[in-house]
Amino acid sequence: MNTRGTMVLEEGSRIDFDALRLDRRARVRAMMDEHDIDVLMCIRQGNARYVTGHRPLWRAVITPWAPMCTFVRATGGIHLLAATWDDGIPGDIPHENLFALTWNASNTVNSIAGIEGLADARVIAVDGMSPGLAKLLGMLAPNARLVDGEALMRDVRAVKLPAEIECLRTAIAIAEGALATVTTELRPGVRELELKGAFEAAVCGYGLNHVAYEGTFCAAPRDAGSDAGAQVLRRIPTERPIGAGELVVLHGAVHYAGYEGIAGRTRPCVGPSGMVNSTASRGQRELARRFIAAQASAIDACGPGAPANAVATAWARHEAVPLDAPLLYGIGLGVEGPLVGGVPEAAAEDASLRPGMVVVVQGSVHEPGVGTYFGADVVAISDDGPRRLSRASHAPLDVPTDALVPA
Amino acid sequence: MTPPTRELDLARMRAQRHAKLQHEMDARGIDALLLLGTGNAMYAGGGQTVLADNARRYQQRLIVLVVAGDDAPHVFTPYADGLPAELPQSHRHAPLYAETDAGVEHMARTIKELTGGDCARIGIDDYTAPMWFQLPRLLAPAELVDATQLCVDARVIKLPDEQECMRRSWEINEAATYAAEQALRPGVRLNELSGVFLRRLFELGATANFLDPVFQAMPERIADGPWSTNGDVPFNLITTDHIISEGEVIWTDTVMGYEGYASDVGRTWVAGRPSPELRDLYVRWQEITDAVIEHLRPGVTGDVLTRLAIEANGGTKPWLDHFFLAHGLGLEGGEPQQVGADRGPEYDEQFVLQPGMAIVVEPVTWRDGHAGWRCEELVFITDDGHERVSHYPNEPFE
Repeated sequence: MNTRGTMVLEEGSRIDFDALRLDRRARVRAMMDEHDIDVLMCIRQGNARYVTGHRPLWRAVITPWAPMCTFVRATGGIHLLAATWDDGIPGDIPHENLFALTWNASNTVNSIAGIEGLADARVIAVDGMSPGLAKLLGMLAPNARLVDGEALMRDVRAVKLPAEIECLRTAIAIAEGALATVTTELRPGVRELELKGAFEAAVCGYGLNHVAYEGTFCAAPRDAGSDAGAQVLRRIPTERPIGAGELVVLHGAVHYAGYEGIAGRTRPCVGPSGMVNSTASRGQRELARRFIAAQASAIDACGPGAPANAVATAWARHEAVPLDAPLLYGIGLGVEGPLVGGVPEAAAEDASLRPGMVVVVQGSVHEPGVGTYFGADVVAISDDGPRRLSRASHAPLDVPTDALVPA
Repeated sequence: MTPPTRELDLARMRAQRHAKLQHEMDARGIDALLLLGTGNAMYAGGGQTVLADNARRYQQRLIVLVVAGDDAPHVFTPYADGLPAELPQSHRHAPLYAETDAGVEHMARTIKELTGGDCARIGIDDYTAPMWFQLPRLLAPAELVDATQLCVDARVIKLPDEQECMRRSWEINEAATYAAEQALRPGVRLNELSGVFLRRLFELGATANFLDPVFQAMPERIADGPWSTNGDVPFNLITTDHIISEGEVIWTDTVMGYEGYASDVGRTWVAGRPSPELRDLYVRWQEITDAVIEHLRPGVTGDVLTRLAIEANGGTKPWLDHFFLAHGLGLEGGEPQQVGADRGPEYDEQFVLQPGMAIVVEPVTWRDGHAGWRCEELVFITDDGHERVSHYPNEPFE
């Protein structure tokens, strides 16, 4: 398939969501069989959506743990809390498994107590916990042992089905399209927050209603200083107007059917004629060249079976490893592990890259007096090696400096 | 009533919030507070981040550690440029990672180092799975206690600077909502309204959008909407690319932030000319809203407000069964103080309005066959009454 759109076509939707939902659920079921998990309870949107295939109302907050989605292996039943109506809920989940939004803890207790198969559970996998609900589960499922369900779901979700990769490609196309729209609004005097607003408006133009990540639309510091911890990126957009000639980091993400597409590039602010090659400085082009080289090396390191942290080694052969953001992270129904960089070394995982995984490789290079170039690419790990799913170029900075006529 | 001040001092606000948390910790004998919940971590740490869906936020999380007697919070963040300027270097930290056993082991070591390792009681507001399974052992013999109520208590009364953030947040949200209403006409898709809304939001200086903007074309009859557990009006559904038809009634619900403080604007629009029945529903909604707001002052209890609303509505309850007549508001969105929710009349009777509370009043009027009217109004409780913050024009009728 090579058409990237969101409208349903006469011959069917581009992605068979019914099949995708059942395929995902079957994988969760197989995981539960393998690890002898009787009941899976999750709140995390990625986990709940993977199991259920519903369309939840998006919120940008983390709320205290509760079993928003319960999957019982013995019955195959999926039970949802805070589901007052069946809008956005797949038809294979019966109405009696939907529990209304409630503010009364005793209603929550009754809803959970009524889940068939919970009382007999011996092992319950949970993706978080709260003291109150731990007590409640102790009463409702007295023989059950709790285990880390997030680790189990992370493993299931890491390897993508072909239809999931199609969803990711669509999401990336939307993110890159919206970023291209922002580029047309990049001119001296525009404020960073206006660029962020332009990105979100462009996303809505594609039929979506929110972004996955509000993103970075910021002028890069020209001189971050030489300290080891020096900040080479500003990541939170402000009212600051963009100056002529500044490098501007553009980085945002969107959801398509829950799958996250990201785009990240750096553009010079050179006015309405910004796409004309001769208007970017030689130093900016040299910076882009350095980024492209380091990024290519990092992406090459994403082979099947490679340790995830090989990407850091490959990047470090070219450039200093950035301290303040991950160099690699998994992506699917939102951001997933493993993370390389951006977390304390002591917390790093020894994960290896498997065929079917999809990761974001990102980095930044800095040159005092010039600024910072940031870029992010989505890469699928296949049996044959890494495949870049991102399509955006580094224009207008990707013309080799030796091809330029000296100013 | 003293007119509201419009000055804003964010450093003063953060210092006062820190003092309130210290006070609540002292009152409960808590030696350290580890906060991971979005609003709680923002309250304690004061750091800005880039808003994202919860998957990204789990992986790149703002986490705050407050140590009893300390002058400032320890903030762990992937967004160093969002840290408050006044936060000392010793309290600025690289992010913690609560997603893996190794990350939680590192988290426990860090907590011990920063607290001197002799905490008897540590309050925690949210647990990832590795935290739940590992932390009690790693932090032993410290007792880990639930910090949820501590945070609710610290946050419920808004400081003057917090109120000013909320006024700005509400003003920006209303202005962006108004911009979207100007784009409303038959033939426009609902998600296009979100595009207009979001663009205007950030042009006006919003720092974040917390909720998928809701622009819902209301069914005329409840039976025309999706199936629901309670048989009430199905709202708020997820915004789609529905093409707006002449005469459709649109309900909105948008939650965005200024310095983290949420506004929660909900309005009712008509694509075209409102029917006489809808006009009547609007008039009744206005009467109910005025009756409730008129009585907002310290000492009034929730059950008084529900009675007033029911009376003004001719004996039936004028709010959605799955929501409430009124709710608290603060960082990130609604807060757990509710009036008329399904917690039962006893809860409403013991809920007492106090100066400094921020209350959103959201009655609904409905006549099956003609849809209904729903708007949200923000009110601060003052020492001797209230200050109405919301000022959206109900244009088809004004």
